[in-house]
Amino acid sequence: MSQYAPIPKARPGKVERVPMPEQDPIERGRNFLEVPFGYTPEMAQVEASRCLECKDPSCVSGCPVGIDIRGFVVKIREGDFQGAVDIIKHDNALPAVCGRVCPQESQCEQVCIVGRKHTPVAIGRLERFAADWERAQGTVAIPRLAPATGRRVAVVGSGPAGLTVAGELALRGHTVTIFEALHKPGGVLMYGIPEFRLPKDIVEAEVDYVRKLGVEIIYNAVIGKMITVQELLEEEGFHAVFLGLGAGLPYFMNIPGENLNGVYSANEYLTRVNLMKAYDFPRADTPVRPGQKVAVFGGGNVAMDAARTALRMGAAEVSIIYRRSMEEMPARREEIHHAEEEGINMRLLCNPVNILGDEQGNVTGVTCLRMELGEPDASGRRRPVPVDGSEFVVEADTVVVAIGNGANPLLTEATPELKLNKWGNIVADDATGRTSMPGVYAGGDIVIGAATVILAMGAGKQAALAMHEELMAKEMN
Amino acid sequence: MQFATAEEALNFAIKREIEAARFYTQLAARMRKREMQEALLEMAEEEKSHRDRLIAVREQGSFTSSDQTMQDLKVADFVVMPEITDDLDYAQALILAMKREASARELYLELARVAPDEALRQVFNRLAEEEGLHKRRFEAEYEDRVLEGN
Repeated sequence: MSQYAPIPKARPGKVERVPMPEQDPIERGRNFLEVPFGYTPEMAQVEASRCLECKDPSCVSGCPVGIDIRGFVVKIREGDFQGAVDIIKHDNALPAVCGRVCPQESQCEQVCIVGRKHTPVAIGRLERFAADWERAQGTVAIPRLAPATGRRVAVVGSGPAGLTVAGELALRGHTVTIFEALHKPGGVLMYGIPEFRLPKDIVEAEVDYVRKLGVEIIYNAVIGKMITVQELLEEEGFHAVFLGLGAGLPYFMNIPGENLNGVYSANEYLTRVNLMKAYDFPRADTPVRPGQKVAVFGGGNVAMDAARTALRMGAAEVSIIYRRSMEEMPARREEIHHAEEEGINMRLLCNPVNILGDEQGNVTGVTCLRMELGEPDASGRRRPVPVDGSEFVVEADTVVVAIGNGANPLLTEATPELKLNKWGNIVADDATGRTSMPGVYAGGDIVIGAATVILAMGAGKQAALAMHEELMAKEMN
Repeated sequence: MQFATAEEALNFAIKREIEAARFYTQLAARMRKREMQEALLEMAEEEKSHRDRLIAVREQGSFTSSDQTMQDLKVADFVVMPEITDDLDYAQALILAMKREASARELYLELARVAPDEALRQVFNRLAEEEGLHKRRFEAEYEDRVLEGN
């Protein structure tokens, strides 16, 4: 039991949403430390007291992995923090990650009943609090595993989808091996999301939890090159394979100048800094261009991450260049707010059409056009259209293209049995993740295209249940 | 290129749609990836449906404006034409398609400009409008996926 005494439920609307303390914007713009500090136990209990504790909680329906949100929030209010963690971990092996990077405002918090009249309960912050609290105790509880089934499962990729599948299947008694192409686990959590938004020791700790469930992780293992999926099944003795490859192939805009020196994909830029520690060059092996004037194309979370990373790498001026207006920006409001606070320049309704370079092939600027939003088309979307004669140049010595990612073809090209769609994504059943190849499942970004961590985890969970069913049926035959 | 009647102009346009369908079919046969073969064959089918529409116009003798409103997204103006290899991806195929539709549109606008009479000018303007709609369809698909985050 925790030493914290229960506190009473607050009357609806009588207690304001508890803000989360965070680093000063000026100060944090020059360091890689995490921006928010998280709730104290007292803050968490007050925030939890705002929950109406609905009999039929709608928040759960907004969670892709179906966490018993009401259950864990009540436990926090009661001061039983371990109880809260246990409830969350029943459905989510990565709570400290999800508490930080899930778009709660468009999921669980969007359907929170408190939010109809007031600001919704800060479910994400409470999830983060519970996970951080447990880690701070130094005693992460490992649930009891089902008896060993004798079935072996290969999981390709240790990102959110792969880790979820691995955890779920290990709990059910299967022997799971994850094959990770990089030298560190976590996929996008490790190479993509920066330290200031998701500290890497937190990713390591959550991966460690999955490892403690008995999951083995083999690094530097590029499936499709070193060994094929077919060989995993036929020669390596695996009874099923899950493909959680992520969306590792960056899209470029296909405009002139994208081959100039100083143009990065966000994938490359963030991998250099996050995974390869380019901020510590030359002590680390990998450099990155320390741009002074950095232009980032795109308006999603990855664009915000790249822009804020450039600032921390010492850039004097960082601009987000986005074709639409603030309203259409796909990034989380919180991320946009943090980026603005830190001084990132938002060039909205601007379309980069040409990257300019000098005689040595280095970036010098970006030609942009002003855009306006047109009338809604048949799909109801207002598409951006260029304003004639509105050309102007943004000076830049570094450009980061952060407009999205597609499917990396490395594994799929070596696996002709897999059916792909025209964008190269694996075609898999929505409910089960089954692919066209017997015994092979897939989920996350490699199926649905670049999306969110929690959607990948939701797909992983569904696939794990279907795989378990199939594996147990095999055992009975 | 000289045209005396609307029928001649439409025959020319129909021939171009047939050539376009053949282009995508042949390109599909060169592709290494099965999904790209299928995608390019779908594009060939679209060209065949454009051909059928123009045949119907020629037979009915009236060429009315489409109901769809057309806002020129101008994506084709800024993207670079990809090198055509057997490893084309779908984003490159969309660029190729939107660029082909854009040049067809330009051609018809030019033919409208130099048309000897008003009837013929109207036919070419309508053909340009059609190609603009086709271009926009490819631009919108490109925008929805490749430029989704921008």
